[in-house]
Amino acid sequence: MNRVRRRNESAWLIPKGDERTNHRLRADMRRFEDADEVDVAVVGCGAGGGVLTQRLARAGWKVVAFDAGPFWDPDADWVSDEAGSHHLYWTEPRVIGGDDPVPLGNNNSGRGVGGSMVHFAGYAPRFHPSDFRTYSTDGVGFDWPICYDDLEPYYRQMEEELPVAGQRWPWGKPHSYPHSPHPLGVDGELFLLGCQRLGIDARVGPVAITNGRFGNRPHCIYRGFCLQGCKVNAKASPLITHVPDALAHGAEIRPNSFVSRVAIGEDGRAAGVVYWKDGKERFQRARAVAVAGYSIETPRLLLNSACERFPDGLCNDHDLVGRFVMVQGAAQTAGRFEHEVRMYKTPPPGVSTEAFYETDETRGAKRGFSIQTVAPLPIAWAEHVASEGHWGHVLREYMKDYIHWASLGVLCEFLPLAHNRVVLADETDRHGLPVAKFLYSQCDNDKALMKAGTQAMKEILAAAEADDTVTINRYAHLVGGCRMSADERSGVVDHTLRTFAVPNLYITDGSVLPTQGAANPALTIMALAARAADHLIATGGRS
Amino acid sequence: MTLTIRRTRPRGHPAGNGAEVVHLLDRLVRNVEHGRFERALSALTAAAAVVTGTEIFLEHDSASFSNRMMWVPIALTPLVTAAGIGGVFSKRIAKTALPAVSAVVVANGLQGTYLHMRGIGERPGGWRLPRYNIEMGPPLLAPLLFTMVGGMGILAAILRREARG
Amino acid sequence: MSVDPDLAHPAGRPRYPGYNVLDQARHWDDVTKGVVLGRLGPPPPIRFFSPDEEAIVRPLVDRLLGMDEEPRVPVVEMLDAQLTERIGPGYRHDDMPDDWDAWKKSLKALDDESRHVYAAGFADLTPGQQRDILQKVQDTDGDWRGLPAAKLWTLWMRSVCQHFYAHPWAWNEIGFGGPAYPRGYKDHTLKSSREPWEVAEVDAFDPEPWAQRVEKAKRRQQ
Repeated sequence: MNRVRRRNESAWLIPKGDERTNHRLRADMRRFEDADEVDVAVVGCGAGGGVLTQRLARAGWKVVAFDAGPFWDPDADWVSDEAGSHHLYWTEPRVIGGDDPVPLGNNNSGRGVGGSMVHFAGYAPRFHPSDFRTYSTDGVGFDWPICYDDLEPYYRQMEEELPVAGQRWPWGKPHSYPHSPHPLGVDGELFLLGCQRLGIDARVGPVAITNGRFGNRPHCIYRGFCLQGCKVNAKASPLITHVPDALAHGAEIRPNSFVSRVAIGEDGRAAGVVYWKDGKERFQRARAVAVAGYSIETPRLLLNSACERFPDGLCNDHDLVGRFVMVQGAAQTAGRFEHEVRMYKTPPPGVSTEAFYETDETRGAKRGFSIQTVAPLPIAWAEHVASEGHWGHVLREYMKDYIHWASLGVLCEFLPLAHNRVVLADETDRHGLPVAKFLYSQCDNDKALMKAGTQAMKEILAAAEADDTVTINRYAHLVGGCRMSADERSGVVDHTLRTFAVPNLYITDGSVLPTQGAANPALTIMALAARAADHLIATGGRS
Repeated sequence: MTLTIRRTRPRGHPAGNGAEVVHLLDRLVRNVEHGRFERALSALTAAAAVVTGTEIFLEHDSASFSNRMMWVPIALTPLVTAAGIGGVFSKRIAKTALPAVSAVVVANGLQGTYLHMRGIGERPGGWRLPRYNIEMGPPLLAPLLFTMVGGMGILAAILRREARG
Repeated sequence: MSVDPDLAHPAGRPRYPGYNVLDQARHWDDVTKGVVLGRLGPPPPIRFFSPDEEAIVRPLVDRLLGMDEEPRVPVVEMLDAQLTERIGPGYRHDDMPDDWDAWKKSLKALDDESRHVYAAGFADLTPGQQRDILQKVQDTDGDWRGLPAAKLWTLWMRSVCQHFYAHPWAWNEIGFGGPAYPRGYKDHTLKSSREPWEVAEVDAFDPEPWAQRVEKAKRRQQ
């Protein structure tokens, strides 16, 4: 463990015992003045921003990480309750449209320090080597300017720092995980059973939840409220995996500070960020800016930062900002079993299979999908039942059967399409800034994958002897919007996540992903941010 | 050993398996009555160490060896096993290495009990949720089984050695 | 609306007799306890809905959730508080108003529809008539009185379920174990899926074929 601790001491900076937050560390946090020129202003303190902040702070850089939401204290701010966790989601106004509009909020948008990882399920798979060159191999999507091997060491680092628990992983480039696979709930057992009978390989993991003590973070207690913020400190989010170490190395986290604009100086370089705090508009000077607001807010911020040099939005000379936003087709199919399941116990993330990850022409579609356990709590489960068209007495009676159902979720690799994009809406938020409008429409390949994925889940549940299945169509995750590429005509940032247009502006979040694979994106976002940090440190941020 | 058995067999009695067992038992009982079972207990210590050590490995592996101390009983297992086997064949080992390693095992088991106790206390709710956290946390009394293995080794060392056959 | 007797809902028959998740409240952390037990206290006064709207939204919520009698989960009050505070879901469909406006608009539309069909306000209809009107909204493709029907339906169901299934009474009804911190769960395997304090169910049955039959019957009678 020492190797990890030498790189990132966060887990050891968290107090032992019943407190989950190191209040001393926060009270002693270094605080910069607006007039101080910090080395980097990071906008957003989630998967990407959190990791970048920690890495740069450790290298001795002066860093301020802004977050529009609070600096969470799991003890005081989070509850072991579904409805009481609404404040974890980004609920500022946004508009959705297109043929297949994608609901935001609790589905995919986080708020506060830790970002969406505060309420993500916990799955932390790697991408496959094929994900980095889908255009060359499958004729769809886009080729990344880096390959799997470039990211692999950072995948390993992140898996150690979160840490990730799971069986040895046979798919993509085979690898193992630092923590052992977790014990399963009944839904996980049934998933394994169904797969085993069909000859499909399925494995326990990979989840970013401690299986054993990690530093001062306790072992998971198998309570099933991962999506409501982990009060145990067992499930990873930057709030506990990277921010403590960043604070210890002199970074400032500035919560409740909404960045409204990246300011560009006359020299065409970023000069700092304009932000709102306590109702006042302020300006933080910075030598470089890293935007990490995720796939909706990052494009919105760039578009809202239009200036004389960039009349159509920052870095948007080639009309690429906000384009190629992706979501994964994430239908959930639940099966009913004669015996009790009680899927609300144990973490929703348990077992996954990536046996369907790569292109299989018999499906009539390029690329593939993965299948995982999901385990909705009652309110989410009511949404399933209601989506079947049930209401009134039927809904109530159906809900009484909750303990008999086990639920699986598919993650289909939907393709990056130019018309799936974030634009500015006509309406404005309370700061008077245009809000984001997210337009989304599926293509035929997407629909074919979703169908194949749903079919596979039904077969697995049937093989485990489910009497009935119900399916809800939905989406999960967000990536893209400022994709990385080899040149400025096809992307917004280069492989070091530096924007082509502004030499000291970086984008270090999920919006840089050119394709999304059939994997949950958190680990890849963190690995990319860690890699970008290494480049920054190595070059001193000089362009 | 075969020789001993033959000598104690009553004259004219046909050699049979049942008879042999009875005689082995007799001999064991006599040895025990005279405090002579150092070699047997050494062997038993070695066997118990293998069983316990394997179980500890599996349990600690399922908890990801998340504390480096979790490796200590695993490292001690081959040592105490070797000392136990050595004790069967060598009186010197039975009187030196075996008690030395066994004492470490005893101490490690006690330390493990303390660490498990601390682990239970550091789970959410700690000792205020004693039943839940004892049942779900690190097994409270399991390290004492390792202590007992060490105890057997020490006991073996202070016993009288069986007469060599 | 009357339904064939053999399709009649078995509601009223508790599935988990004697189960009370609140017995476990002493094992919940203080913050969670505060939030969950707060739902049992006196509901906040109605501020968002006008009296006319309140008269419509109460039977609407009752029909959507099959709440026929007291004690009712105070879904209307919880919904009213949420809309007063303008706590949205984090998005708005480009062809829908914000949730708060959509609620007001839909209540008016419901009343208009009711007057059109029955020459009486929605609040004055029998539960059966109210259900028939709602069934029509659910079965509408595209626009319903100026609102996209499917999205409106989703908004209604999402809003009422979110409050109803947040209430410990509803957890008792469905056998849910409730909050689990600092004490987590320990019986989570096929062989042992029930905590010592959880209650075994009675009269379990697969709702899927039954529910399909009822939905079909409801539409036959339209």
